[in-house]
Amino acid sequence: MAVSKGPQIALTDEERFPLLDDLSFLNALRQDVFAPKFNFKSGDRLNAVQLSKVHAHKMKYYTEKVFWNEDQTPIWIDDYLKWCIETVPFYQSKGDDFDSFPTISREDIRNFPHLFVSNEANLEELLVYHTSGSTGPKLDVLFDAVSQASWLPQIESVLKDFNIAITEGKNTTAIALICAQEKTLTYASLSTYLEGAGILKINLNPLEWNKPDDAVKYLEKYNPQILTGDPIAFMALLDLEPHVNPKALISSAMKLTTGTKDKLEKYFKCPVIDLYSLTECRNIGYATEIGHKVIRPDLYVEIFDEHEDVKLPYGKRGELVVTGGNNPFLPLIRYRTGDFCSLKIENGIPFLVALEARNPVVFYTKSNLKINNIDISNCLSELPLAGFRIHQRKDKKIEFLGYSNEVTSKEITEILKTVFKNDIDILADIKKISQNNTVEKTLYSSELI
Amino acid sequence: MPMSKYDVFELVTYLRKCPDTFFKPSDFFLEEGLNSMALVYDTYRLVSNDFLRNDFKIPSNLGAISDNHWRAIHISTWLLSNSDFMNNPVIEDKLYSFWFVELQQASAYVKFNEWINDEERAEEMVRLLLYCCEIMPYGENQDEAADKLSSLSSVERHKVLKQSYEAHERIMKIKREMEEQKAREAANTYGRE
Amino acid sequence: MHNLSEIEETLMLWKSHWQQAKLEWNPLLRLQEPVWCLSKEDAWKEGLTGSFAMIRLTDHRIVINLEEITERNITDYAIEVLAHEIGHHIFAPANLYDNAILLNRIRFALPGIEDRAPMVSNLYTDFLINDKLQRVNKLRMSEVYKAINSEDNFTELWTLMMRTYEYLWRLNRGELATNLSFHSKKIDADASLLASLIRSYSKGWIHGGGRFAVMLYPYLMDDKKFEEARKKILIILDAEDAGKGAMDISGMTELDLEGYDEVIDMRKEAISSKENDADKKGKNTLGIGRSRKGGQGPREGYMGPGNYIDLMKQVNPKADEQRLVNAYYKEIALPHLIDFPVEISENKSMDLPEGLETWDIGDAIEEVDWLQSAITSPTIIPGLTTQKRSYGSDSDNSVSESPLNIYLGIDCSGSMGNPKENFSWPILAATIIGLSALRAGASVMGCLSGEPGDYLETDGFITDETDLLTTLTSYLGTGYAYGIERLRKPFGEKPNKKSHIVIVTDNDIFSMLNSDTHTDQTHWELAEIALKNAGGHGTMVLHSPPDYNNDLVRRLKKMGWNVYYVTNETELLKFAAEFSQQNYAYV
Repeated sequence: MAVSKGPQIALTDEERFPLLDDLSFLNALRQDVFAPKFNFKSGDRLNAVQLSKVHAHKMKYYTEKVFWNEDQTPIWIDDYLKWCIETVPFYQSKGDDFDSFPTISREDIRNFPHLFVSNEANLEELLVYHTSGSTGPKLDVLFDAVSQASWLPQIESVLKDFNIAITEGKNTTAIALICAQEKTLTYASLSTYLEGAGILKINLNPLEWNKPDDAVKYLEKYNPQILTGDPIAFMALLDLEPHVNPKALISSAMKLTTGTKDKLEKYFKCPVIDLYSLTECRNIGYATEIGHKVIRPDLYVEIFDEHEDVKLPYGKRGELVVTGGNNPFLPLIRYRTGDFCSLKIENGIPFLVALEARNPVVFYTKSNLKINNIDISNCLSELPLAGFRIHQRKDKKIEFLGYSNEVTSKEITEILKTVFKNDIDILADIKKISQNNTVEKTLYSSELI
Repeated sequence: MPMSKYDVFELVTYLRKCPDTFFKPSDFFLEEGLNSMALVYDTYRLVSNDFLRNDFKIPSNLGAISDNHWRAIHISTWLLSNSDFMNNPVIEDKLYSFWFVELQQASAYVKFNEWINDEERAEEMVRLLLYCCEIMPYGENQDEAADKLSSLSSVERHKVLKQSYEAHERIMKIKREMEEQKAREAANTYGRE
Repeated sequence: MHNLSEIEETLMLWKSHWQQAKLEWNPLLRLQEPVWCLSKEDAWKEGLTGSFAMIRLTDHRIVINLEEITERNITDYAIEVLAHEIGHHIFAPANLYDNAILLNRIRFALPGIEDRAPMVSNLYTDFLINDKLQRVNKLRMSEVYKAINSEDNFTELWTLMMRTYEYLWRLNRGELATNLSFHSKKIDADASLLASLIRSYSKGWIHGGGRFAVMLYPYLMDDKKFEEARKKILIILDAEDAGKGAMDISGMTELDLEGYDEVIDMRKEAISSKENDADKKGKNTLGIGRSRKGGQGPREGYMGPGNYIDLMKQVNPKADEQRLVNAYYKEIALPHLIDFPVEISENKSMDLPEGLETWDIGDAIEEVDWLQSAITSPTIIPGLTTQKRSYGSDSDNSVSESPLNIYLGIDCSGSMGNPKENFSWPILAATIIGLSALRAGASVMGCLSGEPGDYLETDGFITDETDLLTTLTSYLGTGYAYGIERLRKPFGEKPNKKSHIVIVTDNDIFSMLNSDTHTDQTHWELAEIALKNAGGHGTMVLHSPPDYNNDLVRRLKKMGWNVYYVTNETELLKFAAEFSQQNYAYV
């Protein structure tokens, strides 16, 4: 009796782009002779009020950034806390003093997405993103068009540090999100905020294109100004040697090693920015010499002890915890990110030092076909696994350890075999979850790197 | 048999034997209705044991009292005719608050016949009266009595129910919206997160 | 650990109270003595795993775990516990059918968390029984709760339940809901509403289930909290599995429209103003009913097969899914089958009644012994409560002219849904024709085919209804059309007995007919030969507008095939009923 929980195509283009009258560029992108076999449709859904909110948010926070000093809290914290306690059911009986306010976790959001919706939020603007991320089973993240589109002014403020600006207007493709996966949603879109500029999400997997060269030809034709993606996708793009000249590459979701960064900068001849961002709150910061420079004055970052709700002193390393944002469907108070670093404030700007991001791990089939860990997590995320570790040995054998009371090792083996195109040996083990055990974080590792 | 004074159970039983005639509407609303003012005054007189007085406290704006409220007052005069309340002058000046403040508030949430038909409402009226008259119910201490009254209070209950109903409705609405296809098409993603 | 002699003492004590317990309800009550289990192991064997007592509605047996009772120090409450279990048998839910209806109504009120229904049903019926026993019979139900509750087994939900009893019985706060840390105004308000519900619905209890469930919804929503709460009160849940092992319960496929209207939010009712007399009745229903649940099938009057399976598995956790699916389609098909033959040429002399056995749907209708059936249950449920006298007779039934067999070929290709999840008209049609044929004494061969790809067929022409239904309700979803090649097995050679052929498909059949067989014989030729060999009518039922592929249709007709058009799947029902009537009904 399960209703499909994944994303569904359900709108008209008018509903996707309420303010854009001229969609000719969109059609061009979709129907181009080199275009991929797009499997989805998407828009930014901004109406006039929402668009003005995005601009207002930019004016307030990103034009001139005012953070906080050591031992200070941001000026907006008191009002924000008051608003959360008054209007957000989840926070209602948790306390009234920020200092002693408890942390929240991904589990809380997974279990009670509805309780984080502010009573003031207009339910007609509710959007749902069904995500697996690379950690744990899937969850629904609720948001609205405004907080989603805020990604753009946030990135503009990052690019400003590099003296780069995105050219607006139709007939230019502003951003292309590059993926290299077995399966993912792909679409052509436009950005209302960028005055109708093109937005692409494409998958380099050859099966998604009509002819082998199409991906390169398409990208060369539309020459997106900014390319975004993860390091694996960028290296896959590099392999294709397209003649494109983006203004910048923005890499996220996984650690960008110096080696990879250098290779990419050398080939694409533009800055390659290592961005740290979360589905739950958009962009947080980008890598610099000192550490990740925080770009969001509307996000208060703190460091907490991993296990106890104890805030750690300035400079100490611990779990990154964030508060704030402009999403009335998921306002965060002390949200545990699951990532670790220490804080440093320099010239009034916070830095996340030695941020331990997730490592990109590529797995290989016996005949050396590359398998992206995202494909693995996508397949496993539908199962009731509380967490798992997957490790590839030197002899290419895959060792899997999962935590679940329902799934069998046989099921896991079958699924992994399919992901690895039946060209792999699997050793799968399942541990039952008892009352007390702490489930380890999901880990991917390999001896082949 | 001897009745213990102010025993809630006995008073409730007495109240629930209220004759039909007390259910009639007030003559403010119906010509053949009950003479509400007479009832009120007579009750005052019985309670204060002064049958010659005419100056008892009544609200200046009698027209604002609803039909449902009047009928609640009528029914309560039956209750007040119980011997526990007769010749009990000390409660006379407390009746105003009972009739024209407490019962008015409660009448917004209680239909007049429920005061008799519903066990809990009958008990609520008895306890409300005792509370207004500052009388401790037999066999209970102050805390117990207060707690019992508040757990029966229609006014309290209404406030709480409204809150819990609205909170629950909101959650259900959110859940329904989350299922909507349109919501699930989501919106543009620009980078990997 | 309690020694055996202590437990045996308890046994003697409780046995001595059995009569009294029955008298609390009805002096005429006929009910077998409970199964007295002296140990937990014995109790487990009887299916009693959580609580210390339980009722089985299937065989009307009460099971008592005396070891647990001794351990929990409630040996003094024999009458209370026994009378309570008897209450489940005689008052609520009382029988499998009402149990199923109550569960269904409760499910309506728990969208998204229907799995909580059995527990909610148990809690609801407990209230009805306990309130009657406490207030009318003056038994000490409150003492039993006091004895089995502990600080630990409280949760918000359990506090609500106990607080409701405190309201019902005018107990002091905390007398039953002992853990005060869970108390709140919210629970008080809800408890007072629940108490008034129990008082109002003691007579028509089946109408209160929806309201009860709506009130409990917020306390059940959270998975973790629910698991925790349930674990803590497992000891109380004596009727969650009351229907375990039940045989088929008929009559549940139809949409319970009355039940929808009863899914009312009492909080909303209570907060609407009492000042005016406006009729609020219809406006407080949650309105989830019709549009969301979506009636399916004939006149859109039935719940979907998936929903039916979920419900019946809650009624009987051991129910076999295939059996449920078969029962589902059979039940919906029933009103459309041919009538039972009026005349049965049977030698009736020297027949002596031998006894009673359950009359099932397949039996001749006049064999039903209405008097005996009524004694078994006032509600006549065909197949369950209908009784027939079995006669000893040594005369054979003389056989009337045997009807033709029938071959049912159903296109089960990609576009067809899974009949276990969504209502399937082709399968209903096949069920109607197949069962009518069986009823008339013919044999049936069923074949699901989605080719190129897969097929599933019965083992030739069969008479077993279950095998037939099991085949028909399977799911393939392969290929693009019914495979003509399937006709070879039954009709490549002339079969022993003449047969009709019915193939339910759509225009893709012509692609199939035209496709290359890689042999000398074309599909068209096979189709012609098969029809000739079969000897009866051949009908292609096409889901298509009537003027497609006209020349190909003409070619089929020239061979002798009938072509029947359905522009809309619901017309399949009409076809099936008519076909059955024409070919299998007796005049």
